[in-house]
Amino acid sequence: MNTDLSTPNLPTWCPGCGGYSFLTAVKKAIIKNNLAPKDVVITYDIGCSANMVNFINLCGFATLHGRSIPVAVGVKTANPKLTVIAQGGDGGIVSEGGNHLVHASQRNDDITVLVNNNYVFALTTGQASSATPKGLKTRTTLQGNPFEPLSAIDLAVVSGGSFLARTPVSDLNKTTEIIAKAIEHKGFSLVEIIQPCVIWTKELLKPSGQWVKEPFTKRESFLGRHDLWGILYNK
Amino acid sequence: MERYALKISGPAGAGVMQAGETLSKALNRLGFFTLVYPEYPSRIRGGDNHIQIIFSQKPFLTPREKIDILLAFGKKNFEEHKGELKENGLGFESSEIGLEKIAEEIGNPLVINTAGLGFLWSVLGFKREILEEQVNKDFEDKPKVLDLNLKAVFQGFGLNQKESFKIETPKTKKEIENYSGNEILTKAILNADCRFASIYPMTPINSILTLLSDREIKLFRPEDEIAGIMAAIGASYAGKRSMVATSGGGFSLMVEGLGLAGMAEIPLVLVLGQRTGPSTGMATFSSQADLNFAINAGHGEFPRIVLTPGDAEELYRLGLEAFNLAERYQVPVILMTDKYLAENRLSILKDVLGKIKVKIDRGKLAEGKELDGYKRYEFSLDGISKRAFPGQTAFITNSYEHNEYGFSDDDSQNRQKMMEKRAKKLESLKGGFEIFGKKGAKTFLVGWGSTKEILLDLIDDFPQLGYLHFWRPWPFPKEVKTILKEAEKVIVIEGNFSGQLASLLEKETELKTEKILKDDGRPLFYHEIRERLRKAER
Repeated sequence: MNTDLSTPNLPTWCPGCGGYSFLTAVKKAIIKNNLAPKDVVITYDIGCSANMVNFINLCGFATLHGRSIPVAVGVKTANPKLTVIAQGGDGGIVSEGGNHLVHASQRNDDITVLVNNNYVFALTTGQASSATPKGLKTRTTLQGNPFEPLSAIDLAVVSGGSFLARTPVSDLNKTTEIIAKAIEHKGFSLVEIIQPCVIWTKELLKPSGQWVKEPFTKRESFLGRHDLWGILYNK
Repeated sequence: MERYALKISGPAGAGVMQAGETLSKALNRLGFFTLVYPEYPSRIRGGDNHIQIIFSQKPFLTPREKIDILLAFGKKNFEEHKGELKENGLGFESSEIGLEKIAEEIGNPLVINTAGLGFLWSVLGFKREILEEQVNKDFEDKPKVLDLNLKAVFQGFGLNQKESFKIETPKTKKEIENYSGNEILTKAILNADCRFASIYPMTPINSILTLLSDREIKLFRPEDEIAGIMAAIGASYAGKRSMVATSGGGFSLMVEGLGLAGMAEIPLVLVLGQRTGPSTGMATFSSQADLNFAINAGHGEFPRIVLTPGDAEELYRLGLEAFNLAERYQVPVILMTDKYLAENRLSILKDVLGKIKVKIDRGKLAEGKELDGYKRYEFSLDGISKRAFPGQTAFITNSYEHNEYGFSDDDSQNRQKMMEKRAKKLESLKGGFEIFGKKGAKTFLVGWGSTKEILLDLIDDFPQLGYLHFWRPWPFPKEVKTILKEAEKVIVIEGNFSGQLASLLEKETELKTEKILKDDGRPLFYHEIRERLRKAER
């Protein structure tokens, strides 16, 4: 088996981008779970992290902005033997594709959603997204963002996802372990990867959070607690 | 050949649609061909649902403006339609003839429609037993209400004492089947071995969704049409024949997915059941105004196939072939119907559909050694690359412009070659139309899609006319020019406001056309089209 998973293409991310660590974590999780690249499908959104389609050797499918989840649902329904992962940023999963997130979570579709949250539309040069923290100044919120951020995990909490986790990309080991567990999970799993942008959301680069020792028994317990890291729910 | 037109009208919920099915099937038992044209507002109870049943010993029938017999459930419905009766036509209102009373006596208000059928059957002068056979068949799964309905037929039949048509019944016994357009298309979908369908409800394709619901197919009920087309693309990519079905509004949402299927070269069948637009339009009425949209939808340029079947047989054949075309050329295939074709009940000789065999062709597939160093978008003479599926090998599929391996690629030369590769895929397609009527006719009628039966009915009475029907207007078959340029007059007949096929035809062939257009939600009625044709021919 190809345990390298690399392609002829080198990543095009900015120096210091969390994407490098994310790419390594995904590769390690796939190897850890002993999955063959031919049996793993990742459907990608459009955005910085989604450029990973060119950097990892498995069945990668660059879809459209906001649509990685429904494509993944179709793949998994058609061939349940495949391991199916949908990737997207906060723009793709929470803004453009929020409807798909809520419904895949409601149906508990057997896919893993990996959300690279950099709190901003980065590849389009730094506009506020629905996940941008309140008060943050961006190129489209010059006086500070007036809205409370929408969280992918909160949306999944109220709609029914059965595995929910949050991890900072800077912690490669934890991120690898959580992604590996999310992939193994039967049912809808979602991992929010805290990955502030080195260009557009520099002020968020040192995220602070509190690791939970074990998952909560009730989803409502961590609703709105965006400072909690680890596997928050696993049923 | 004589054609008869009946109309049954009643509030939604009165069983008018079911009555149409039962009556037309009973007429088929006598050897008549039938066409059932339903018209109804967008509501579940009340209002005015009505159906027109046209029957004759000849196939290919057209709705009529003037009717021979009207049966209305309720005074309001009677008033609404009595003006449509021919001079010697017969109109009946349910309470006047005592249908409500029969239902009351039987103790179930729902049997009023069957009592009405019994009455109509007697007015038509046919043997009661034939209708009873059909009622037996329709209620074979519901033994509890079968007896009540048979009683209703008997009593309704007995109400009629005097008026009776003398209609000659067919001498030779023909076995005739009777399906809605959506039923025929659903048969094709299943027989084409389609394994995945995602459908968000929308008139006029709703019954495809309900008919597929208890069948051996993975049915995805998406949150919206965008998710619908994306999931179908995912399923097709994963190796299963896949489809979506929608109407214009849903198709508007699906357009980004259409482009994805074009760029990533994912086979996909998209059933587009047209209804009156723009926007919500007249939700339960028919239209042929989405031809331009189907041909041009999406940003950028990518190949696609547009199929426009016009009758039961063609709907079934193209329903089967759509999946082959999608997989052979790795393109989206848009199969267009409309409310008229989808929800009408059509009659055909038994076994016609059964005799149509289309062998399943999944196109070029990579196998064995070809999977080593596999290139998803490998250049080839015909532009078509071999497909592989996840589970066979690792490979990249891409909505970005890509190189042969599928990796994103902005290189100028690669871009040019990839555009040429995709465009080349459909170059070998030939045909897409059929000629009827007189060879070398001075006047040629041209149509597409659901006007086919109407125009075949018409040229039956006007044998001096030629008629060209497009069943695949895109890619446009330019060879029609050699046929049409011989005619003195080309009259394009279509159900839209601006003449979309006419414009396409003029652009592609540089021929001049005359137009007969109609976009009021209703079909082209028989006498209307005759009259307009007479004017256009002048």
